[in-house]
Amino acid sequence: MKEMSDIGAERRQQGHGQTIIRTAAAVLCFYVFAGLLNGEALRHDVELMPYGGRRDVCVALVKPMAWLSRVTYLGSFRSWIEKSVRKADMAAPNP
Amino acid sequence: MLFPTLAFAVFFLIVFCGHWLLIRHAVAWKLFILAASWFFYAYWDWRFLGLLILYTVVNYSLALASYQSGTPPRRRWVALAIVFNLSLLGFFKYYGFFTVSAYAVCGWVGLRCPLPLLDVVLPIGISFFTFQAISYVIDVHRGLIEPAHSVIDFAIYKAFFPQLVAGPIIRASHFIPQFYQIMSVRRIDAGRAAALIMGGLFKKVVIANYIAVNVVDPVFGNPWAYQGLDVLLAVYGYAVQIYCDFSAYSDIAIGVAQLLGFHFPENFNAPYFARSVREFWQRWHISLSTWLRDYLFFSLLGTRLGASRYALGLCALLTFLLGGLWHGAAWTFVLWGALQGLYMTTEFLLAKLLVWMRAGRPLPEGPVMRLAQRMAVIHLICISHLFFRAHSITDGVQLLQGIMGSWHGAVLLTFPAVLALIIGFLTQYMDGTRCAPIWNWYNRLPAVGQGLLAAVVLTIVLALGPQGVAPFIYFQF
Repeated sequence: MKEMSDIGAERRQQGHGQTIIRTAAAVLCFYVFAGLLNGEALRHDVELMPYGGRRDVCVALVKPMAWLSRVTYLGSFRSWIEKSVRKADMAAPNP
Repeated sequence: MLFPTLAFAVFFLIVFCGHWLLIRHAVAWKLFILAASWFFYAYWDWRFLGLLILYTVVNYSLALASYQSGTPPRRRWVALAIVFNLSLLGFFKYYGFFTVSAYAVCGWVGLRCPLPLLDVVLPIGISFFTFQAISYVIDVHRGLIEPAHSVIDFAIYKAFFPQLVAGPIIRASHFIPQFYQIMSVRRIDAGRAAALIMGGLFKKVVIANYIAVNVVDPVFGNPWAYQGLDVLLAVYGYAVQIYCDFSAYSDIAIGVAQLLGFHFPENFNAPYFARSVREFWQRWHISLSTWLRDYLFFSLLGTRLGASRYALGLCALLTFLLGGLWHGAAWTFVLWGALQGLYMTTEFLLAKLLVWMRAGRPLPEGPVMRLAQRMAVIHLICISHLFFRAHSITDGVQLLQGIMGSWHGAVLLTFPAVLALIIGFLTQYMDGTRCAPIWNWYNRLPAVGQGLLAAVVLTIVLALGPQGVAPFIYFQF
């Protein structure tokens, strides 16, 4: 049997990748954009959580993002896709 | 804490920032990563954190004792560690199974022995961290690695959150050297990390969840209600679902670790493209199959059983039987393991027979032969997966009979279902280095572009996926 291939180590030896600062900037940008694109949907998901401390924290966390998402109309991208695929037909069981 | 949730997103942002800010302060960094990993585990059920700590302390101490003692006592420490690990796993995972089985056997022979049936809750990830602990102690015993410098270091290896609950089973020989050199990491392969995380989310949230809800669960939940094409679709569907589900977890774990500067070996490499069952196991859950080979199969070969004429076949069969039982405490998993062992043994014997019949000449190569071999492997694996997923062996047999039933009036055969199956199957092209040009292209994008692209992909994945996220299949193991 072959040994496990470590693509990460091979690519590191080949010098692929970018600096940590650049990666951190990309990660932070990702969080900002993801929040803007999904703010409204996130608020909707969070509001479905059972009442309690965890829900309160999540709602407080998501509220500003949801507002920004609505104001900038960026949240409409996700709702447009959802409407296009008629999401209501695809309900998965909650964990 | 499931990967595709808001809770994990917040957790990871904090860990990512803390990790890179504290990386130059070894003690603070170690304590931070350990606390984060323990928090990740305790998020499910804080009571089992004590069990993880017990595993950590006992295995660290026994491995150290084995390292510091002479040869004969060394074996005793290793034996003690294995007994300890397997006892805990046996109690939490198999107590109910063995009690019920023993009760049934007593019933057959006419004995009435009331056995105490406890309602034991299975700690999440126990199978994975038990195997990890055993490999550490054995590797130290074999002299392949030196023990971790401190119990904190070992605790981080044991609890490192990306691989803690559902693998891949990372060996200490792979993790600990990276751990001691983490401060020297200067570059991160963000392209590969992003592709693994986004690809994993797509496989889990869109494909696996859709197939589970719309194809697999209805049939396996009620095998008597479906027949013909519906059952066949569900069997193929489960093969795609389990691949998408489990490889998704592994991919996200590898991607998350990569963003923290650690590289894990790949765990899946297009398994359904395999041309033999042996090759399938070189491509499927690689960290588990190599674990079973190194610590079980080779150990069995070293015993008296290994001296017998049919040693390879017997040891392979026994390894897969135990591998099946590792997956879950049910006879369906044992049968799954038995089938895998039988496939491997038969394949080995057939290969020998073919060599003898063709006087050593190899089989003719060509696209038709390759396709035939791949189709044969896929169907053999699908049959074994059918029992893996079925609630009981009777259900599995019923499903097999159901395929022979009427092929008219299939209700599950819809365009989206077939599309999901095909796309799920094709996601195997994302394994290995097939997408390396995309990773390199992504690495060349400006940071804002990288963030935006990843966010757009995430949004599309979340929008296409169903409401809520079902747990990963391998969480139950």
